[in-house]
Amino acid sequence: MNQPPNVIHARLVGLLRVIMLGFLLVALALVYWATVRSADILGRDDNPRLVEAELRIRRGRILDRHNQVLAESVGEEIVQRVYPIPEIGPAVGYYSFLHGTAGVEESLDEILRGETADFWRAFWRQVRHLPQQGRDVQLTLDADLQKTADSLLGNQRGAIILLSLPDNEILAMVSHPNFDPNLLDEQFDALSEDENAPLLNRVTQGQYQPGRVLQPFLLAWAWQLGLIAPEQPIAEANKPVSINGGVIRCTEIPPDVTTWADVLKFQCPAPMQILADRMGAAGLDQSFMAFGLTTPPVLPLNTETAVPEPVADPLLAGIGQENLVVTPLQMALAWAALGSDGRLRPAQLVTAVQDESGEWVAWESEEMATGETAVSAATARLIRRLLTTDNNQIEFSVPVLSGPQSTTNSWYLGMAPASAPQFAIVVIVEQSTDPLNAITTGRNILEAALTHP
Amino acid sequence: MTFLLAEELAEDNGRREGILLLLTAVFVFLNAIALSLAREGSIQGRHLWAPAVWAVLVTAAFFSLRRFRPLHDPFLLPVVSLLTGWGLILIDRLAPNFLTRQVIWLTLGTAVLLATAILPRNLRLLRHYRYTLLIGGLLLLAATLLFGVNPSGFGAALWLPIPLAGRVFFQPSELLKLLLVVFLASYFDERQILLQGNRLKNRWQTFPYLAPLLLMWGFCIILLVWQRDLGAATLFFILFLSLLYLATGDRRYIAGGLALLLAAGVFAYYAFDVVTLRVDAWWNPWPEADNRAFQIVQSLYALAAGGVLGQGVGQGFPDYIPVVHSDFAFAAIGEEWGLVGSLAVVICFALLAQRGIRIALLGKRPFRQYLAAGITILFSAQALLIMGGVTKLVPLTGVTLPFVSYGGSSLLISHIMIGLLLYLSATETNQP
Repeated sequence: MNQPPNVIHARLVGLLRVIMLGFLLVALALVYWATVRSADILGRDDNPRLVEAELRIRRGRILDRHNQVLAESVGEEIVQRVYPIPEIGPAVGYYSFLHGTAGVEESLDEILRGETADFWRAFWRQVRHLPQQGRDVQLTLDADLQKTADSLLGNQRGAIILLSLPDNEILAMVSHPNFDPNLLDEQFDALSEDENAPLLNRVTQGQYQPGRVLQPFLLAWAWQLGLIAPEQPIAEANKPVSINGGVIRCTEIPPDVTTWADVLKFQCPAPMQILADRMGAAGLDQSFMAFGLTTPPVLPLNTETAVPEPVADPLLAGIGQENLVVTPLQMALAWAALGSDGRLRPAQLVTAVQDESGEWVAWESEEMATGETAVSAATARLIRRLLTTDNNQIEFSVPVLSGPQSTTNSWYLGMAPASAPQFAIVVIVEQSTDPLNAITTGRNILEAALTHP
Repeated sequence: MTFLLAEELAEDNGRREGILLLLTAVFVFLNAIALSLAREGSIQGRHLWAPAVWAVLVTAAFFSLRRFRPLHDPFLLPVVSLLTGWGLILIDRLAPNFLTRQVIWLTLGTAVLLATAILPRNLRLLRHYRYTLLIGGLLLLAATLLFGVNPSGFGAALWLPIPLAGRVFFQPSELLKLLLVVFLASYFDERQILLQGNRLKNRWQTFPYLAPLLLMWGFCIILLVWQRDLGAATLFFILFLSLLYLATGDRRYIAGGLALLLAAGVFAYYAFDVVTLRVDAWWNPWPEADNRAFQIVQSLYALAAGGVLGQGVGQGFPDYIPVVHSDFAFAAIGEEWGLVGSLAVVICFALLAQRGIRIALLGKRPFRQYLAAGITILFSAQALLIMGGVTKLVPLTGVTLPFVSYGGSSLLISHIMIGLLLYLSATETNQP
């Protein structure tokens, strides 16, 4: 009655073969996705695991020179970046999952994230699902001076940089208008659309017309070369100079017999044009370069700016109203060279970082550690002597016409104590015709630095 | 003599089965402990109670089967236990809210498995009332057209609320799988000679006998397509084709059937949005990775993230895959247990298929052979459809991974079918 069993048996075996072939194909597909394609799939931007891993990274802390915490990551699993001092400013910058990084958070990102080149360390971390643990960094910043500087600049737009001498360690860096890095995510759209550019670090990337603030440097350079001598008299020092439809003269009326030294003290523009004419375009370019005003300073921050065109009109360039624009940082480093032995040294922002075993190691600054000579130590000393004030500070401050809208910015360059400067400061206040604001701000910060433990 | 041999065989099988079950229990408890450690940092009861219930159920099944069906296949229970135990760990990890329900369904499932395997006359009843049962199943399925709901609140309404049972639902298409396989087995058994004999001469004579079958099948398909339950429709079609081939041995049925399936696929591609979406997402998911192809892309991420050894239970991110605890349980295994784990699951289903076909081969009557083969085809096809879908071999069809995925109806019916296989393997009498 039944068909011979072997007939259906053969069909059953055939069926089983087809089923097994199916399972074999699935197995091959599994091998393909889990090994061959694994790396390139996981590397895709929309892989949510990358986000999860990122949110779990315990970034290292950022500390000030006295180990005060400037930035740390808190939270159990998903961590949050917290900045205990909201006015910590552009040197620290920000870390945001949505909007990226800025400042040291950006430049030392690999250290702060705890990236490792050690294969086994990375492998074990992955196997044990340990969150990536970042390394701490210590900055040269002084949190107290930073807070002081920030509050003294107040609501004014502008920038401040305070350096210690002779190592050029950055003690404070202020850029206003500023932002609270703790609130960055909520405020980012408004901040990035704000025409006052609160996200711009004015100290390293704000480009300002230098104006007569170039005087100490050009005169030092000319003295150094023997083009002029400090006691040499100069005629018609207070002659008015017209620029952009305005007229500038010495800031105070100089003595009847005006020397080149007086030109510096009384900030007279007309003799500067005579000097510039003598130096010529090439000479001016050379002097700017010697003081580092045409190159972006080396610093673990973004210091890139548009490269200024070479001098075309020496008469305007001599009073800083031509192609050259400078950042407060460039100005501060040139000023610091006059404050020490005439050598142009790089600024320092990082003192030490943790290595992978958690030990602190000194941060190696990359180049120009000893600096290149801008002018001789004697010339630098001469400039300092000429600019010493009654209150044992060395000062040079001047309002500067800037930009086509004929707005005026005020510069203040200061050092203290006059006998052997320990601190150098550059303050720029935007849209301020009276340099008094800049002067008061700068003086008070120097005062605070001198009395600070 | 025979008696002695049977006793020795039973002894041998029992030992083999016991060792395999012990290994399975070690695996399940190690993973429960690992999950607890990964989640809580310590070993906690909330992750151990479900495996404990599972262990009690497996032990009960083991001893009952040894006592009442000593000659049953020794591999089926270990394979099924491994998959259900693994499933409990997975549900605890992915959707802990559903764990209690799954444990209750597993308890019911074990009970019906034992009832099916041990009680006599089951097969005779199933055979005898095959039309009634099938029509009843179809009516239930048709009822979902009117009263169907989806417990998750969206998606295809494939479930019927069970009266007086609170928020408990049943999926009639799962029951229909069992009824259809019984029906087809007995139908082909009865028409054995007609389908076989003088095949070449009387080709057209077979048509009247195949016609009611085609009708019945067409009815299923219409209902399913109406409901957009494409997974079940594909499954039924594969079952029908495979049994037809077993009964007739005519490969042209297979070729014709596959052509029909392809045609239906092309038609569905243009007719149903859900099919268009799934085929497009399957063919090239990457351009729409965060949109229409989100699910398959997340599934591939899970497999890639798992690598060879896996992330470890509770330590990956399979939660990114939508409805991971039912349709994509396999991808979650790929992420947390790696290639080693996912291949182990494949091997489990391959072993299940091998045992099922073996039981069919040993069957003394065509009905038993068709039944064992049909059940095997259902399990294998369902596993292949979802595993192939997860690995982008075929478009996704929305079926669950048997025994592993969350889903009460599927678990219950799968246990009945395993019960039938156990019964068939243990009773080589001429009883139907």
